[in-house]
Order: sequence, then C-alpha cells, then structure tokens
Amino acid sequence: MKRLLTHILTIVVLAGCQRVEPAEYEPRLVVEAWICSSQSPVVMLTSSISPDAVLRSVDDLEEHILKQATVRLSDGSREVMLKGETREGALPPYVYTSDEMKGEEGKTYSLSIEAAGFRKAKATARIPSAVPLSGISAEKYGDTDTTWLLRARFLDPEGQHNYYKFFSCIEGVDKDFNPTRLDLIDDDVLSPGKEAEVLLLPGSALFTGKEQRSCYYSSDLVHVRFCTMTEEVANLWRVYDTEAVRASLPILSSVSNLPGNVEGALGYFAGYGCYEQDVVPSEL
Amino acid sequence: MMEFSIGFFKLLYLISLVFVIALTISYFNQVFHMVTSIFLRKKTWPDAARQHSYACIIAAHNEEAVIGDLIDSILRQDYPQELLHIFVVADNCSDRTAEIARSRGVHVLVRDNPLERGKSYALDYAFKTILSMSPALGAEGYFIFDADNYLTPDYIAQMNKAFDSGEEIVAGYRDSKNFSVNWVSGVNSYMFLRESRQIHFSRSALGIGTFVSGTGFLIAEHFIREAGGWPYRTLTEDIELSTDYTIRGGKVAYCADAVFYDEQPCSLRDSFRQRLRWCKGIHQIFARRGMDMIISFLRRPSLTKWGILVHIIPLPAIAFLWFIISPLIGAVYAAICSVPMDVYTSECLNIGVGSFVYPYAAGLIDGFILMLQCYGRLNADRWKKWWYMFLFPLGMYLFVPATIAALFLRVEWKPIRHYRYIVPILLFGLFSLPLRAQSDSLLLKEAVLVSSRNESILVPSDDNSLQLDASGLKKMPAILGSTDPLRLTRFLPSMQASTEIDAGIHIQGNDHNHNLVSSGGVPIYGANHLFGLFSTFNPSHFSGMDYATSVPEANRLGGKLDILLPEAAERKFSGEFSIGLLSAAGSVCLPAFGNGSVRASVRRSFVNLLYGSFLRFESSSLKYGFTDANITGIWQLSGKDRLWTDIYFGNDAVGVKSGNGVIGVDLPWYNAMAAVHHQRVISPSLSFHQKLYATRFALSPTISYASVRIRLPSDLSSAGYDMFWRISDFQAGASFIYHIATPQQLNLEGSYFGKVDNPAPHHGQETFLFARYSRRFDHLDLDGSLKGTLWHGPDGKWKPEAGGELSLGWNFGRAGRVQLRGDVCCQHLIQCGFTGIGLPFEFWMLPGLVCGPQGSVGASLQHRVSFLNDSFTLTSELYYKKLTNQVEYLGGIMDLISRPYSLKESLSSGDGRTFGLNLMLHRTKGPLTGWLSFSWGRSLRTFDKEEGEIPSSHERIFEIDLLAAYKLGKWDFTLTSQIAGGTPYTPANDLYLMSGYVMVEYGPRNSARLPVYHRTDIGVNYTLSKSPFLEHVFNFSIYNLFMAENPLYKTLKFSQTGFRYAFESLGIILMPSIGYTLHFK
Repeated sequence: MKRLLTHILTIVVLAGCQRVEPAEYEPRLVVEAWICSSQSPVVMLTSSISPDAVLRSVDDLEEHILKQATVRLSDGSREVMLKGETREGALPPYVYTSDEMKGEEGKTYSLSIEAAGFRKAKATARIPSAVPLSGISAEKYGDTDTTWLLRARFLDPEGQHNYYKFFSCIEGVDKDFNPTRLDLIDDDVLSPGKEAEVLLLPGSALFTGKEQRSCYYSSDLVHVRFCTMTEEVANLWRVYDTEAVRASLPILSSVSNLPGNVEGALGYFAGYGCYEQDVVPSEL
Repeated sequence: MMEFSIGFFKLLYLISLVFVIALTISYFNQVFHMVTSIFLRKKTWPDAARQHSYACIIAAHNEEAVIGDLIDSILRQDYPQELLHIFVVADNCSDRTAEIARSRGVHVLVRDNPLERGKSYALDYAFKTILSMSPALGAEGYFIFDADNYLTPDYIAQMNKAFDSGEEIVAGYRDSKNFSVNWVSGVNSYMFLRESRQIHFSRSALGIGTFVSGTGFLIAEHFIREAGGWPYRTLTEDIELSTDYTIRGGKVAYCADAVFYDEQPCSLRDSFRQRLRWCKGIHQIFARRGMDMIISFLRRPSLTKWGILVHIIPLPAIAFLWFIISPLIGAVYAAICSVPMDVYTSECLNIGVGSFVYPYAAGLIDGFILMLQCYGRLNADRWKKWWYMFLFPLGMYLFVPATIAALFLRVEWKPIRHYRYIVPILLFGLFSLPLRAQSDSLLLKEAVLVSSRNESILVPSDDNSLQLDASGLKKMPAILGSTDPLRLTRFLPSMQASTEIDAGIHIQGNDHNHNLVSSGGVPIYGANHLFGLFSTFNPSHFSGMDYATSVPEANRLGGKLDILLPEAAERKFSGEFSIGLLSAAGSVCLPAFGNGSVRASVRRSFVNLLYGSFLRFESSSLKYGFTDANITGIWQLSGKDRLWTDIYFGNDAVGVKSGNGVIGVDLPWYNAMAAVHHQRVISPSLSFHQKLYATRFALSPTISYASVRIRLPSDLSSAGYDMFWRISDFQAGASFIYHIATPQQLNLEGSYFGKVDNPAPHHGQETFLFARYSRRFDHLDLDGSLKGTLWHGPDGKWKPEAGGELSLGWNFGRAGRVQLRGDVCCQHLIQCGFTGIGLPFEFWMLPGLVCGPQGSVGASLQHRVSFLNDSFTLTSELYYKKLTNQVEYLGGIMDLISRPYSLKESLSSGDGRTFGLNLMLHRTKGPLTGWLSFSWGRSLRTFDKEEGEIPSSHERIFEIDLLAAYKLGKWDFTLTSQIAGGTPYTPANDLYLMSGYVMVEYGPRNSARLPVYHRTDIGVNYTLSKSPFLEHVFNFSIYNLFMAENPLYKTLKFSQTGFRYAFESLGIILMPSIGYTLHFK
C-alpha cells in the first residue's frame, strides 16, 4: 500500500512538470537623441530586445535598427525633417540627422518620431549654456611610457546650477563620441571659485567586443567633448553609470530604470551645451 | 525552471473529483438508508413456534467492573433458563473476572495465552471447548456478547423469533449505556444508534442483508461446527463474519426489538483507538476477502453484497489521504511556480477543503434526523441530545485520521476503560441515573524508571530555544574540510536557506540585522566569513550554541545565535588541530591558576592557493582570505563565584575583479570583542550575573575603476555593562550600552576633488531595565517579561520605549505541549547598504538623525509532541510579526561621486510583516538522528505606497530541509539536503541599446523568482583512536552532491561573442573535500 501510494504521488508530481511557452515579446521603440550647441542633431532609433537567454551578437542587432521612421525636429519657430544616413562601424550604424538645423544655447527643441509598428513618440530638450575647459593635461599611467591619463580642468560659473559630463572619441578607434566613466558632475560637489579637475577615462562602447580601455595611448588623437546638460539628463546619466557598474558587479542589489524623457518610447533626448577640444596625450 | 501550468492543477482537481464521485457513490447507500428509515415500518418477526436452546459466549479481559451486570441481565431474561447456557472466557485476566463469573454460577473458561490475545482467540477457544462438549450442551445457536453489555429482559425472546423464522445470523438493536457521560460517549452512542435505527432498520425493512457489529448477535450453531471454532482473526471479526456470510449468499438479519446496551468510550483517546482498530480490521478484511467480495458481487449482484462491499473497501482512507496531500502538493507547486493565490485556491484548495466541509453538513442533517428518531430513547438532558447531535459529524470525522493511519500503522487490540453504570430496568432513558464507580485501586509494588539520552546534535529546551552540540557539529558535512554552526542552523525550519553569496541570517523572515549573533551574549556585528559559507565562530573553540527565534534579553526584532561559554573549567590539557582544503585550525586548552582553564584557538584560510580558479563568478574573479583567534578562560574563584574572559578577533579580505579587469572591489573587514563575565551563585534560587564588554566591527570597501578609488569605510563599536539577579522564578536586571556607529563614509582618490560632506559618527546610548517571571505549574507554563528602554540617539533626544514578551504554555501530557507567545520589541541598530544581502558592504547606523528606531509586534502558536518513547518530536509553529521603520538603501554607487552625498536621501523607510508555518519532525535517539522540516512563509515589505507590498529580497516562500546523521561504529555518516523556493529578483522587461551599451528596463520590483534552490551535501567521518590520548578523525565530504546549478541572480552577461540576459551562478558545481582533525587530551 505504501509503495503504491509512493508511486502514485511520484507520477502525479512528475506529471505536473510542464513548461509553458512565454507570451510573445512585443518590442518597444528606443530613442537615443541629442543636439549639441552649434552641431546637427543626432537621432538613433532601435527597437528593444527580448530579455531571454538567447546569446546575441552585434550582427544580431541589425534587425533592431529602424531605418524607415519619420523624424521631425522643431526649435519652436521652424521644423525640419531629419534624414537617415549610414555610419559604418558605429553602434547603431544608422542615424537620423540634418544640416538644416544646428543647436543653439538657450533654445528648447521638440522631437517627434513616427515609426511603423510603434506609437508616436515625442520629447523636448533644452540646450544650456556651454562652459569651456580651462585646459587638459596628461600624466603617465602605470609603468610604461605609452599609457596616459588625461585630466580636464574647468571653472564652474557661479549663480547657476550646472551639470557636466564628458564624452570622448579616439580617432581611428571609436566611430562616435562615447560617454566617459565616473565623471558626471553636479556642481554642488564643487568648491565655489576653485577650478575643478576631473580624470578622463576612455569611454568605449562596452558592447563592441573590443577590450575596454582604462587609459589612453601616446598616439591617440582624443576628441574631448565637455557638455553641460539639464538636471533631467544628468539624472539619466547617473543611472546609466550605476547600471554599467552593476553589470560587472551584480551583487549590488539596487536596480533602476533609466529615467527617460521620451513620451511613448524608451530612451532620451538631450540637449548639450558643448565645448570640444582635441588632444594628443604625448603632446601635452 | 518549471513554468506555471494550470494543467497541473486541473490534474489534481480531476483526481479529487474522481474520489469525490467514488465516495458519493459508495456513501449513497447510507444516505438512502437514512432517508428510507424515516418512512419504512420496522420489520417485525412472527411469534416463534418454539423456544430454542442457546449458549451465551462472553469474551472478557479484566472485566470485573461490568461482567456481573451482564450475567445478571442474562439470568433475568424472560426466557427459560434451562435453555440458556452462559460461558465466560476469562481471557488473560489479572483481576476477579473469573471469580465474579463463577459466583453467578456460569461456566468459566480461563485462558492464559499472552501471545494470542484478543476477542477472536477467546471466542475460538470457547467454541472449541463447547464443541468438545456439544452433544451434551445441545445449543442451537450462540449469542456473542461483550462483557460491558446489558440486555433488556426480552432480548433473547425477541431474537428467538428471528431465529425461529429460519435466520442463521441475527443482529440486535445496539443501544448505549452511557450516552450522557460526555460528548465522546454521546457521539459514539449516536454512531451506534445510527447503525441500529437507520442502517439495520432500513435494510431489514427492505429485505436487504445487513452486518453484525461486534456484539449482541446470534449465530447458528452449525456455522461454528462446520468451521471447527471461530476462524475469523481480523481486528473486526464481526465484519469478517458478515463478509464471509454474504459471499456465501447469506443475509444477516436484524431484530429491532431485541435491545441491548453497550458501553461507549468516554475519552477521545479510547475512541480513536477503537476506530483505529475498526479501520485496521476493515483494511485487513479487504486485503483478505476483498477480491472474493468483488467477484461475488459481479457474479450475482445484490444490494446486500453492495452494502458489504462499500463497507470494506478502503476508498475513504485513500480518498481523504488524497484530499489532505493534494492541497499540499498544489501548495508546493504554487510556491515553486509563483502561482497566484486565487488560482491555487480555486483550482486546488477548494475541492480539498470542500471534501471535508460538505460531509459535515450531511452529517448534521443525519444527526438531526437520528436524534428525532431516538429522542425518547436517549437517557440525557435535552441540551445534551442537541449538543451531541451538533458534535456528531465531528466525531465521525475521527474516522478520517483513523482510516488513514490504519493504512500505515500496526494496530493491536487495547482494552477500553470501563465504569459501572446503573441502567434502569424501565428503559428508554426517561429517568436515567448513570452512576460511575471507580475500579478498585491497585497497590504499586515496583516501578522501573527508564530514561534515554538525546543523541541528536539538536536539543530542544523548555524555553523554545534549541541548543546545538558542537561535538556533533563536527560530524556534519564539511565544506572544504570545515564545518560551521551557522550553516547548520540554516537547516532549521525557522531559518531561511542562504545562497553561496548571501551571508544574511534570516529567522522567520526577519532581516539579517534583526538577529543577535553573539558569544556569551556579547554581540558580534559582522559574523560571517566568505560570503556566509562560514561563520565567525571556530567550532573547535566552543561547546555549543543556543538558537532561538526571539531575544527577550536584548533589543532585537529577530532571533539569536549565541555561542555558549564553557560551564566548567577543564582539568587537563587538551586540544585539537584540523586541516582541510580551505583552512586550518588549532585549539588548545590548558588548566590555569588552580581552578581555571584557558582555551586558545586560531584559524586561517588558504583559499586562493588551491581553489582560486574555482571561486569566481562567471565574469568576475574572486580572492579571499581570513584569520580568526579566540581566547576564553574560566575560573572558579570560590564556591560561589565564577569568572570568564572571552576575547575574539577575526579579519577577512575579499577581492573581486571584473572580467575585463577594469572594475574591482576590495573588501577588508574585522571583528574584535573582549568581555568579562561574572556569576555569583548565592543559593540554588538566588544568583547574580554581570558582564562588561566591548565589541567592534569595521569594514573598508573600496571600489576601483581604473585609477579611481572610491572608499566607503564604516564601523560600529559598542561597550556595555549588563547585570541581572535571578531570584527563584524571578529575574530582574539592567543593561547600559554605548554605541558609536560611523555610517558609510566617502573617500575619493584619483578623480576630481569635490567637497564631500560625510555624515558624522552616530553616538547612542541604550539603557534598559527588565523584569522576567517564569514559572511552571502543573500543566501551565508561564513566562513573561517587561522591558523599559531609554534611548538617547544622535539627534540628542531621549526616547522611552516599552516592550516585553508573554508566553503561555499548556502541557497536554502525551498530546504534547501548546505554547502561545506574543512580544513587542524595538531595535536601535540598523544595517543597510548596496547589496541588501548581509554582505560586509552593509554599514550600521543608529536611529535618530536619519530614521527612527525599528519595532515589531509578533505572536506565535507552537505545538510540540514527543512520541515513540520520546525518540521523535514533532514541532509545528504558526507565527506572525509586524515590523515598523524598516530601512532600505536606495542609492547607487554613482550617487556617491556625482552629486552631494546625503545618507538621509539615500534611505527609504517603510513597514513590513512576516508570517508562516514551520513543521519539524526530529529524531533524537538511535543510531540515526536528524530532522525533516518544512516551512512556508512570507516576508513582505512596503517602502513605496504606490509600489505596494513587495517580497523582501531574501524571502523564500517554502523550504524543505533534511539533516540525517548515522553512526556506525567508528564511522559517522551525515547528509544535509535543502530544497527552497527561489528568492525574488527584479526581472527585466526589455533590453535596449544605449550609448554603445545594453540597458535593462526592469519590471516591478522583486516580482520574479529565482529557480528553486537545491543542494545536498554528504560527509563521512572516520574516527581512529590508537591511544587514550590521541584521536584521529578523517573527513571526506562532497558539497553539492547532485551538482545543482543554483543561480544567484539574473543579469546581463557579456562575452567576446555577444550578450544575453541569463542566470549566473557561483560556479561551484560539485566540491569534494578532505579534512583531518587530531584531538589530543
């Protein structure tokens, strides 16, 4: 009797072990857009990816790039249609841009996007005033003569609450500007009247399959972009940096969603007051 | 992972439905007879043409209290006495049964056979004896009576009518002697009245054969002669007789006018035993004759055969067993697959519950009808007739556990206690005067005291704490040659399982920092090594550990793990040295200063040397090392005074590097503690205790990104003085503790030099007075304590708080002990941090500036019972606790450097609650000891009102733990196994590309579950003693025997070829280890 019951129970329990296919994933529109002072707007459109355990390579992301969208940008007085163009080696390798409108400090821009299969998305962004760098210096890093750290200096203007971030692009290595690491700054942490010095760490696309750099090399031609931004955009980059660190140390429990500002889509539209400078570490 | 499938519940439901239908069909005949008994007229027998000769057989075992009344009632029958022969079988009697029977002038057959006990053997003996004298006896039929029966004067005359009509087996109307004694006898009386007035009555009226029910029946002589005696040996020989007769084509008749009285058990225990015996007998009959009955029914179906078949088939046992376990199976499945409660309830729970509820309603209707049918017959007050009617269905439910237990247990006949009742000759209970007379008292000549020792490593104590024996601990499976008491406690039902990186101790759903981990009552704040795989405490150094789910002597919301100080000084030199693949430890004990001894122990790891390549997350490498040292001294200063000193120091260092080597974490931390304890025992009922101590925990994690360093040092130091008096059952005392907590500071190197406003250290003073009263009465245990705390926090304010605990326990004897406990607690030490899993990243702080003191209100109900000579203990507990002012850390790492650091803004506070059920079956004696436990519980928090209640990060809804230790000579085998529901995590809804990186869009917090956690470890110890001074112990263990890949979290994983969102585990799939310990003394 006992054995019979054991068999019955075992069969019943095992019979319950079924796998149910998850519901089909519905992708969402992803917008990464910005407009820098004195520069053309850049809009990148992709669709989100299902969070399953399938291993995806860079090539697999091709199907998520949206190339047929209608993208419009307005500065309040006129509106332009952004056109798509291919940028080989960039991630994603397709952007929407236009030379008919350049960013101006103090202006607010409105972006609207229509892409097949997604609801209409819109966002606004303001370009704050740019702050110039006082200078960029280089110092050797490690035991070799070929590796360098860069330090940028600037004076935070008083009377306004600024948020800063650096981007860098290494000529021949990066196809586009990448956010550098650990240098998102709220000017409340800066001492008033005192020049701030920030360590620049190479910003590389973490997901390119390339080795992530911790320093610059002697022959690098580094394009440095020093940006001011609104608090809304600064909050987004703060979460971005935290999540990027958490990916390497998943025991950090707190998780946050990027506080995007695009209505109807994931992602952001940022306005940057930009100051750019090109440096070669060994020449500094 | 098993996905939730409604089909599984449908399957359970279908099986339950089949059982319900089968039960309905089988019990329909009872409903049918209940209804027809209302309308049918009683079958009456025609007057007998002649009076037949009978023998009355009474099997009696120690029935001196009642046998005389039965014999007298037979001698007073309105029937020619010369046609009645009375035989009393005094079966294995040790009282005056035979003497009383002889005094009535009846035949007495004395039988002494202790090996073959029971009514069937007694009857067989009687019949064989009678058959040997049968030609002289001339009996044509045999009446079978139980010794506690009593006949109405015309009983035999009425039965004679049926016999004379040609019936071969006739059952009489079974009434009750003691309906009104108590509800147990009342419910049992209703049960037999139902048989007589409804079942037999209806069947008889419809011409359907019925069955005899144990006593008060008549059987034709030729049956006995053909069988050569009484061939029926099951525990219900009456049903066996009825089954046999029915198979042969016979019909048992019923004579409603032949009334006799039977005595019902008056205690629940006797009643249950009786039903257990009946159910076992029924199962025996089905096993032996069930197939014959089925074949007979199929060949020539009849309602008589159908009635017997549904009587003996064990369908109710199997069905109710299924109704009990199917919701449990569903609950386990629901917990594993996170099934919504409403689905579980509708698909699984309802039918199981309904199967118990609806029969109660049906039983109530039946009872009501029966009461009306027998109203005049019942010798009791009106209120009792109604009250017992309401209890009647519940009494019938006693058959459920009895019939299930009968499937598995071995059952023997046990006597029921008897009392003398005076049943008036003017019957039908109008003027009943039941009297009870005690049986004669016995003179005790000899008593033998038997006791046995608890051989388990776990010893329950009266105050609901548990003590773990350190010597037994060493025989547990080792991880890399090292055992650990804290890890062992995670197999207890009230303590949640941890993962390989979760160092937290979660007792009944509480957070890690709610618990007091201490040595001799002195707190150790960072009690873990290597992410919780090992504890701070060196098992070589201490003799035992105390574990409890509450801490009345300190301000803590959770439970306690306290390393015990030695009770007495050791008189001689001893020690041990052990080495494994992870660490080495040594301990020596030396007599010191006359009546004292000092034990010193040290332990050190060498993890990276051998296991560095194993210890890694899939994308990160790990380095680790620890060292600890203990010195404990004990001195008997005088006959009354005893002094201890206890010193501890331990430090750890962890290094984690990301796969690309750019991001790294270094984490050193240390614990230090020193204490002096003094005890003065003035008399057995008067003693004084005090201790003076200091303890400190400090950590300094550093996160590095290239050349940028973020250091986050923090620490907690406490110094205190505790004292209390113990006066008989009363204790009173005070504690004065000064805390200094330095919450997480921020030191930046290598980046911009912004200003950092680090929080100042928090100073706090905790003073509390307590009084406790603990007393054991006959059955009642009372334990109550009151505590008043005065808190002075870093905000400079004084805050009084009150708390306490009350525990009431009732001892039900062999039914065990029930305890109800409630407590109100507060806590002034708060821990939180980035990880939320009790890692040393977590910093301590004091309430006042950034948050308030934490509090809790809780209650629990526990039952504990021992059985099988106290070799098993079954403990079950329900608990509920409400938590206030719980704190969580919301900040991210980048918050520390990108904007002004504000601890207050990084914290969120809220409330919580924990509740659940714990079950534990513990075997304490014999070569095989250990326990099997099951726990179900929830640990919920509300930090954001919009978000609502969410599970805490450490919640495991269910857990099954098994710990088994088997001793075979010099070999000790141990096995630990754990199956636990996965902890919650925040799942990803979407992945998307952003600035060259893949970002995660998360869903609701903690809304998904990691897969079920499973791990089994085994260990073998061989002890070799070649001299009385040396003992060698060799250990071989396997960690994670079944190579379960238990994921720790779900995260984005990057590789050279791509990325994916998947579970990640520690990478320790299976880890064998060997260890060696040398004991010297």
